[in-house]
Amino acid sequence: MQSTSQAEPTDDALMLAYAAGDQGAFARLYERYRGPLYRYFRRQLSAAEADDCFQTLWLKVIDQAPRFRPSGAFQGYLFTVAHNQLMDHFRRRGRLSEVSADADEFTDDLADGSAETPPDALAREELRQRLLTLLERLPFHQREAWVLKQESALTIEEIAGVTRTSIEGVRSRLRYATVKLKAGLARHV
Amino acid sequence: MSDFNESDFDQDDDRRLGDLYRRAADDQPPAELDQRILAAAAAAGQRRRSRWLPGRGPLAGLATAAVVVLAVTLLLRQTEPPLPAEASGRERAAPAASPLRQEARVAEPAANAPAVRPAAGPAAAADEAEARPERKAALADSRSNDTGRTAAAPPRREIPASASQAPAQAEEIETVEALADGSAAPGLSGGALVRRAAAFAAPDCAETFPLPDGATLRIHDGGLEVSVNGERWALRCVDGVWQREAEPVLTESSRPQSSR
Repeated sequence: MQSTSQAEPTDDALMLAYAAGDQGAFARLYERYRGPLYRYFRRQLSAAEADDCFQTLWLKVIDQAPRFRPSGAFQGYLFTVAHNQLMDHFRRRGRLSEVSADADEFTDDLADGSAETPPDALAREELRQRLLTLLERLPFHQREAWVLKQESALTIEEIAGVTRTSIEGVRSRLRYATVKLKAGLARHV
Repeated sequence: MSDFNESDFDQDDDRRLGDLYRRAADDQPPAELDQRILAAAAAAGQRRRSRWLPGRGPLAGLATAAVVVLAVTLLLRQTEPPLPAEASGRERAAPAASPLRQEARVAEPAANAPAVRPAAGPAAAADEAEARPERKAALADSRSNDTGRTAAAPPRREIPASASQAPAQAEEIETVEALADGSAAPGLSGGALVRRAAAFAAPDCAETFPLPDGATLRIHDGGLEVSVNGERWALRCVDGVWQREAEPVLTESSRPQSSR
């Protein structure tokens, strides 16, 4: 996942090697980002939609490989393409209004029926489902910012660049998301 | 996925929440999707490689044809005689070149005109025809005065650069005879040597060509020079006629020349 490492070639180097015909370089690059990118889509979309967007994203990367110019920010480039892919998907499905209607205000609708579940009965899988449900209920922008922070090594500034928002906006979204997730999970313990 | 327990939520810590998320959300793309994407990447790589193989596609053929045409054009330009001064790009590029070379180009044999002088029109041909008798007379005059080297006005060896005589071979022999101080020179192409001299526009060019009876013709950046019986004479072109300077070149160091 790290773009630079002492032993591992950088993302830029792998991308350039692939553009020069090294198939193995692409396989390594893909291995680095397949999980984070897939989860990025999966947190926003159904499994089938995530598969579709994930595949389209990589086909774009493959197509753009010959024109790739290393800038040392391959991860930011990758997630920017992913963000744009997600927006295109919402636009095609007529769901863009849902995204833009998201507000950053605190919403207290995160509690559901499982709040009555005793902590002892909260099994591992249930807790997992609870976290994912809480994430799902977050407004899109908060969820996207929070997932990007978890799934990538992007800085706040880079996340702002990927999502085309201000740094303060990203900080605000992350703050709201964290507070809501903690509140939602704390009720069960 | 690791175990969860209540302690996961005890700490009000973003990092803790992140750890919990990473343990909870471990989704991976389906293996079938992985294979499809990797196959697409491999196929795209193959396409890109084959696109640049020589002989593949119309672009490659066009590029190959362009290179061949360019190479042939360059080859032809190198082998053809030089153009007249007013039409030669090389002359324009080197305006300070030796006047000897310029004159040699102007005095190019008319026999070559149709092939190498597209700019020469009927007027140029008429001028050339007028110049022929004069050059012949000058040549005859120079031969009749061959013995008067030490006179106050020293005789000049005149070398007609015009190929006005019907058999080109005869004209060339005559030219070389003049260069070699009257020696017979059957089979040598004096006209070709003069043209070669004119072709060497590069300032550092110099070549030596053997002439009969031990004489040599040297082409260098300053012009032509003929060596006869140990003496070297500079040649210059006046009004289209090659002439030997009155005095021989004294020493090598007295006339610095670049040589190849």
